[in-house]
Amino acid sequence: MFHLELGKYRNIVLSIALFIFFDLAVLVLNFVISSQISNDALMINLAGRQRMLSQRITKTALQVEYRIRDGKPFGNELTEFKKASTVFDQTLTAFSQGGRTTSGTGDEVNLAAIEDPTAQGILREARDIWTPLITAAKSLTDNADIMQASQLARLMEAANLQLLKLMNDLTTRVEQIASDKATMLRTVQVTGITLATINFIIILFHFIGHLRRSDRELEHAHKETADILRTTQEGLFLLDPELKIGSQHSTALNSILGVATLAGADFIDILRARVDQKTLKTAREYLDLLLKHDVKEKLVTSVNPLNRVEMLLDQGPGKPETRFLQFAFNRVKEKGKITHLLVTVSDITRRVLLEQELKATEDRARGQLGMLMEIIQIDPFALHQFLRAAADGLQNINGLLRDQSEPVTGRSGLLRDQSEPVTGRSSLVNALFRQAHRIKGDAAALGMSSLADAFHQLEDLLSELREQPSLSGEDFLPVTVQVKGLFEQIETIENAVIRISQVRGVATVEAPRPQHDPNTAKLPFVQRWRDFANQIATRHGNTVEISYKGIDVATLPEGLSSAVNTIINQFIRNAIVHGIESSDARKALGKPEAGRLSIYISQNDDGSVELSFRDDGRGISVQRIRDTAIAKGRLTAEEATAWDNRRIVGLIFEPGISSHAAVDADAGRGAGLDAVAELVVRFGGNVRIGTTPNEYCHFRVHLAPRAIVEGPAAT
Amino acid sequence: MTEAELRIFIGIVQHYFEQQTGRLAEMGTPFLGDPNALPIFDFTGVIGISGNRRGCVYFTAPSEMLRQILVHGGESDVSRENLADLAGEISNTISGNARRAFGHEFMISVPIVVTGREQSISLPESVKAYVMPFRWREQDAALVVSVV
Amino acid sequence: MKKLLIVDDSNIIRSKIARCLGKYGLEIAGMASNGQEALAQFKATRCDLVTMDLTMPHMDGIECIRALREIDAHVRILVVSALADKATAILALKEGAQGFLCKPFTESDLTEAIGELISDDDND
Repeated sequence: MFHLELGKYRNIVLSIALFIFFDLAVLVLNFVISSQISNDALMINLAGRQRMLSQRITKTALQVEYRIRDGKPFGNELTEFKKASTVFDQTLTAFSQGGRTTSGTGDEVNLAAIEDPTAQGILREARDIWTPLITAAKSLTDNADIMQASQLARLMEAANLQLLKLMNDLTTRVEQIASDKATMLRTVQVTGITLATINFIIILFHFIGHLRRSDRELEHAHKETADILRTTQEGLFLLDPELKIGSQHSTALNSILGVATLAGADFIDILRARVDQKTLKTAREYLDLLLKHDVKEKLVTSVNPLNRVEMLLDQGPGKPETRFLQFAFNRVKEKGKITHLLVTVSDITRRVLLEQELKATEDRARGQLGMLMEIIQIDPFALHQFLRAAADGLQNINGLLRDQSEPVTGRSGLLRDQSEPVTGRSSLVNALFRQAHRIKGDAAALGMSSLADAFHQLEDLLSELREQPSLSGEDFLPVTVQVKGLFEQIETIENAVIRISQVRGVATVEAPRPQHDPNTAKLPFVQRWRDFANQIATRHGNTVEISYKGIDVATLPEGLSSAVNTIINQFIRNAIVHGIESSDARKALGKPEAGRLSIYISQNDDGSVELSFRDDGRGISVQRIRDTAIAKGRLTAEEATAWDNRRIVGLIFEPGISSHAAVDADAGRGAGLDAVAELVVRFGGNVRIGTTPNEYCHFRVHLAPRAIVEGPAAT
Repeated sequence: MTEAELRIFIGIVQHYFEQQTGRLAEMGTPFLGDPNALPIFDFTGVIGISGNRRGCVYFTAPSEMLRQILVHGGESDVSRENLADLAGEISNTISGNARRAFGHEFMISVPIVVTGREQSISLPESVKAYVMPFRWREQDAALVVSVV
Repeated sequence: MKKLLIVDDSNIIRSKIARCLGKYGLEIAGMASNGQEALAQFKATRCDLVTMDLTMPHMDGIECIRALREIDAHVRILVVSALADKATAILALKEGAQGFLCKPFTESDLTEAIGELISDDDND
């Protein structure tokens, strides 16, 4: 099947075809008529000859008659007569019916019958006259007598004029026909040429108009494209398979990329100066994937490494800036083959910054909400107390950092013990750890999990430092950063508390707390100890019951009450983690399933506080402390055997000694009791320990009120 | 200000000392300082930070340290002008390198040099500043970063 | 019924994929926790589809995709990965994976991705 796709060229092809058709038609007509005209010339010639022959026939017939009468030989004249009459006859037949005859030059020629009715009429008339003459002529022979000759001559004479006139008419008529044909030929030629010319003019005007129009349209389209490219906010351009930028691109592209000339530039070169090595490499791979591999559009979009790319752009001298750009790539296909990539670049800096801001706000809000949920469940008084203590603790931590800020690395501090060479910084780590651990314990006891987590992270950082053989000042940087975060977190909580107390201030105006509640065991702080104990016990798979007798801790001066609270929390933790056995083990020992923690607190007249904490767990294992101290390098094997039990037990108040194997939020870091010891030292008090294996462990603490003075812990 | 960002500043200072004097400046434990209680020595080069984050970064050093650095660099003129110039140059280095390192996250001003405590340095009021103490040849200096 | 091979070093992910695509109507022909296992299983089962983790011990996913392609040019591979960076994804696609899915994913994410993989197959 052959089908010519003419499309918009249909008209022009038709016009040209018409033009050629006209030309051909004129040519063919010309040819036909010309051949007819040459034929006509022959006819005119022959018709003229007929006129001449009619005279010759009559003349030779008369000569033959005279010759016979004079008795002279007449052979030549007869022959001539015969020949003339034969030719005349032949030609007459050829004119009327078509056929052969002899031309003037003696050649045989073929003649078509004359179609013209007038000429045919003349020919018929001539034939009527001629037929008796030719019959008579044929009968004239060599031995003809005068009678015959005279008879023929008379016939000839009689017909002569008539025949001459007819042949004359024929000639005139044939000439007339030829002249008509020539006129027609001219007319045809003129018409044909006129038509062709008109056609040509039509073509000219029609197509010039058409061309002009399409030129205008093209120009218009071009202007539209240029307008789009000039005004669009996005960078638009085409990339060829060699990753060169096409000749046209949107004006915005220059300012987006910060490049003056882009046409023909190498896209990779442009990227190279603006993105990091890794992104560049990935972008290359990606473009390669787009150009050479058949991958679905959806996938292609999702792996685009330039979907959001941070670029360093030079916006004039001294004004470098980072922008976020988004490059989108579409494959331009022709006949299923990828020829180009259409690239759209948008500056999404504003959007990205907004998103970041929004996310930060959301994170903050979420974090604050979580914290808020926690703090609204806490007794305001306890919370207030805690926040004060925590802020103080953080101040202490920062104070410790500041006091140790003198850049001395590797210089050995005072030897506190011969077996323990301590540098200034490693003892700093221990001091920091105790502080952090204490606040974490309090936070956990109050149920402020996010804050406890943050302090736990601080502990993690400090634990890492503990592992390092030597410490530089810079090693403490993460600690300082974390401390700053904690300061801010506590400040946030304080602000929230202020706002909350403003809200619920009216509602909480209730009867003042009785000074001496006989039922102190139900006071909120006891309840908090219970909650805290249950929480830890649940994690360790045992159960405990707390009994409390004594004063309302909340009535103590603030520093003292917070210290008491911390100490009790640490004892609770210590008892549950190290002392109280599992329920099964307790049953086997004939103990009640739930471990009993008995707390007693009283205040002396001088303001000092007596604190007693007793659990009925497995008691302190001196052997285990000994083993741990050796394992941790605190004591040598010789020292461990040399020290008496009392001294060994004292080690539980030292940092880094813990008999619990795994590190978790509750124990195992070896801090807890050392925090107790630190508080006791700060308050100028003392601790006594009593224990019987598998029966009990009893701590008695005396705190003197004079030391409500705050200050960095002495180590 | 993240730990990594602080490390960039610290690195710049340490690199400066190593490059210019061939001897490391030893860093002490960093701590937090309230705006009214920050270390300020004889000469302080202050860089202002604006944009998304605001605040300032300053490097402060006693004249003796600056004098020794000058001498170390073969400079015999240790006039106050030159000491101030040096403090400015150190801050300039910090500013320039920080600009490069931070990828223009924030705008960093040209440093100004403050002498002693006569002129006040404007710091964000509400936050605690990071104080990074440095010691070089028994002389103390400090890098202070306070950015909101 | 199309046969599926699940390659992932996480037990949880393997069983999640198996549970979800079993319901979807695929025959779980094998499971592997690293590239080498995957190749062995593939040779034995000649699966039509493979879900492939990228970060695995012994032989990583990219290498494994390359090896699978050498054995069978027509197997359809869906990369299921945490896809830390796009460079790896591009590499996987170049090596001949037909799709990928980011962890964490939901059941419908997975069935949709597998559905696309299979419909591609039918179109070919």
